[in-house]
Amino acid sequence: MAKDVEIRKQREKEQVQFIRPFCFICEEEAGVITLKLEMPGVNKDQLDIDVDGNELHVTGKRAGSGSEGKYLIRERRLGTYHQAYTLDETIDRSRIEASLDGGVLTLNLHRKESEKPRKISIKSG
Amino acid sequence: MALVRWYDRDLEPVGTFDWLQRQINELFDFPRFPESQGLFDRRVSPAIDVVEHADRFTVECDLPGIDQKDIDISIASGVLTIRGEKKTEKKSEKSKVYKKETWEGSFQKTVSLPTGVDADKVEATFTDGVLKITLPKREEAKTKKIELKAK
Repeated sequence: MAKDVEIRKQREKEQVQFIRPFCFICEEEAGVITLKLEMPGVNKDQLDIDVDGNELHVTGKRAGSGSEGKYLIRERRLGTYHQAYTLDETIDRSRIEASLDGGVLTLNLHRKESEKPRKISIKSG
Repeated sequence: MALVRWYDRDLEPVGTFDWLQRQINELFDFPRFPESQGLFDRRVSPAIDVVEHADRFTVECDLPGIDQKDIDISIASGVLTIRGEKKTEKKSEKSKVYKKETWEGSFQKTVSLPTGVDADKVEATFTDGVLKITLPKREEAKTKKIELKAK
């Protein structure tokens, strides 16, 4: 029992080093899931998006971390953003579009053609 | 049929105490910075850093997803105000929202500035969703090094 507590604590410690970006997930048009992640201070070169099997990993490093001066107010968290998502079978892995604008990463995940809702017309006999 | 004593792991007294002890031990094990919930949630008023350097103050503020033209910065009687509005594009009625942690709408953040800020030389930049305001100190407020003269 003591061992799982240790493992759990270790894992928590590792997670604390990452900042979880705030997300907004919606499906605006049928078949395209839009995922927006707020990552202020991250530019294109410091952003990594990986699809590994069923997992989508987003990692963004913040440019310029910390100042050498004396902090009068400190509310921002500086560090590395990280978030992982599990993709289900309906997402087309080869059609993931990403754009970064003003600190917001937008990912468009397309559903597979075969999974999209479609109408079945009845043939008149 | 052999009679077997009824045994329920969940109701077993020693196990229950173990569980209770674990729960109490873990009560304060939360990360030091709560992420999105609780009293100190700073999402609606954007997070800000104010740093003092030898010759200037810098104010950095996280404003992701906000247009530069929607940000309004003003200084009046020693109070810096960052005001703005986060607009989101119109969504069609059919859109389904699965998870929303972001906010939109107007915000305002005020900071009382330390004395000695030269309000005429303030500069602001906005890159990658981070607003950086540089407020130079007045000559008389700068830290001066006093040289010791050798006799």
